[in-house]
Amino acid sequence: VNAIAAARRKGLADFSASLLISPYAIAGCSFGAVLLLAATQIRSPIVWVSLVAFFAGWSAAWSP
Amino acid sequence: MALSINPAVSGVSQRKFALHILYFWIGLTAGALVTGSTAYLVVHTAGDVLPTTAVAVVCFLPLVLVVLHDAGVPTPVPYPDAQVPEWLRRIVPPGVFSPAYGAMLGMGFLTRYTFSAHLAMVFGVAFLSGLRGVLLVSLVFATGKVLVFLPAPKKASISELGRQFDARYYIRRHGHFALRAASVAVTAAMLVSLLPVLEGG
Repeated sequence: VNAIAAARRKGLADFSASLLISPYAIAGCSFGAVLLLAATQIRSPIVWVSLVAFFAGWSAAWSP
Repeated sequence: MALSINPAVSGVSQRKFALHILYFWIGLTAGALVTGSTAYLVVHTAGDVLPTTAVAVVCFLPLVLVVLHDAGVPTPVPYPDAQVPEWLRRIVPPGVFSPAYGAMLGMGFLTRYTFSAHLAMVFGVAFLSGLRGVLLVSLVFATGKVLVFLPAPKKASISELGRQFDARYYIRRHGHFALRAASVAVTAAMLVSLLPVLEGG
């Protein structure tokens, strides 16, 4: 029972750590949300496509 | 990707590693330039004979498919099974492998783990007004991809590298989901940006 409880605590700690520490989660979600909002604001196509390109390169580079 | 050009794998010095990153960046830019220029020429040639709306709709449909794929829906997206071309590593030295692998990744859809944002970028490039824009976007794309090397472990053995990356992947399970969600958001934003094109027909 103690082992199960310990495993649960460890799983919860790992999950919390992944949400709090992971720069991928924070940066990825923030960047995606900002871009989604910016889609209606950025009128310069070159700036807009460059932002998408940066995200495309950055995100794929971090994939396992 | 970061492991494939690491000194622990290639056995090169830190100085050569920096050079290989430069080669990789050049290869990425060249690959993205090839795909972007091709898409640009195809879209602009098609735009001469078809209404812009029709061309945009043709681009819209594959974007929907890759967004569904990122969202976890099993859709027919032709991603290959292999990520790193090991056969290439066996037949060429690291200095040649770096730009060649970079070119493959830059072209996109030649390796696994391609996000929908990549196709969104290709279609976005295709609708730009000049080829100079294609070059600029390719440079930005390559720069974004090379950033992964900045925190890359240095002077580690292959087994140590493996442990470090395993730990990162373990922590990243939820981060990977976040990246996919963000990719969907970026592609959706790209679709929104295509709407004026559709309206302008």
